[in-house]
Amino acid sequence: MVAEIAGQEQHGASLRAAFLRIYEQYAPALGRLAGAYAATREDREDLLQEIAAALWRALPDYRAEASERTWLYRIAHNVAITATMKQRRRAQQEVAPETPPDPPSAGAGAEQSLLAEEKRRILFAAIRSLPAVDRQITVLHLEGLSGAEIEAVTGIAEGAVATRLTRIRAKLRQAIRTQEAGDGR
Amino acid sequence: MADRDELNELWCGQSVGPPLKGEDMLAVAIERANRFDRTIRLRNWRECAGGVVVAAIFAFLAWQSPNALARGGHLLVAASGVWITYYLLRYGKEPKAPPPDRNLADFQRALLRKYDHQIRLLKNVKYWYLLPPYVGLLLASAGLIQAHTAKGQSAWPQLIAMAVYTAVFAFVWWLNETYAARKLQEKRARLLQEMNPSNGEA
Repeated sequence: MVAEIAGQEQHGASLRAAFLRIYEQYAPALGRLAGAYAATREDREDLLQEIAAALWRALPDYRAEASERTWLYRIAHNVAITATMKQRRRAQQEVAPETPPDPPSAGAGAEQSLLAEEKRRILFAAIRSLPAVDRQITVLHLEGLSGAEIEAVTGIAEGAVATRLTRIRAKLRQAIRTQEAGDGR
Repeated sequence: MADRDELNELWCGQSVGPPLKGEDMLAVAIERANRFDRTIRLRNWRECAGGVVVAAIFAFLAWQSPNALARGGHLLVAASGVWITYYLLRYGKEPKAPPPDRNLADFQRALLRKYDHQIRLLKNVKYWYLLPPYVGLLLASAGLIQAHTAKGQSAWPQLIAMAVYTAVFAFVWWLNETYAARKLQEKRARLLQEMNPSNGEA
């Protein structure tokens, strides 16, 4: 009995250690992912917490059949999709203002920084407007996953991913150019 | 796919603000996971308790009933309480939330299955949820009317009660089969639209 409890405690401690390691390693990527799904800071934080809860629940069943990275991205995107559907329903009732991901720092190069921030805002808004599948592919690609890894996360064949990415990237560039042209007028 | 261009730079240059520290996020994650488990446990407990209360009340009424028809009706309602609880526990549970570590296509299929299951349950609510207790109540009312008229008393209170519970049952029927099912169908359609914007249907 004592050995059983000790074993459970050890198991719990190793789960906690695994969670902390994964979270510390992927927190910035998860933050960017949240930005691709939620427009307001509040929704992004809520989404990050949902993802963390799902990660905690899924951790005991992780069997290392998939790489840790693809496993984590599957969880994060699937949670994000369901959470976004709820948030969109809520947003139809109350229109929340978009919160920029982070204010640019002032000082030298502040103008450059502002410009980049504006482009970034447009990019994230454009990504958020994509259908879920395209959004997922885009985020994974921008996070540097290979075609094979994206296939492992989405279940969409590598070739189809490449085709979609070509179209999506053109669309995103176009969104930024259009906005720049609009601002330049 | 490997070209690092403006989009990648913009994406990776994003600072996402100060996220929670690991230990704090772990505490939040555990709390959220526990809250979810508590909600499920509470819902199961409520369903069982509701069934037991209905069964107990109508069993008592059956014992007090003036004739066999009313007794049979009350017993049927009591049995319905048990039946509905059983049905909810056995079939009423939505398929388990799809494990989030599936790939997108599998996850979508599992979500759709979950919606379809819930819609089917709502569409059949008249058979497994409403009909058994309603028939029981009708029989009980008929028995009570019979008993009252035999004593020369007015049947109006029973007739009014019949009208009231018929209206309530009709409302519950509409609420489940029309309103709630339609809401779920809309959610299902939104999911399909999100996942397959070009197809519209899976």
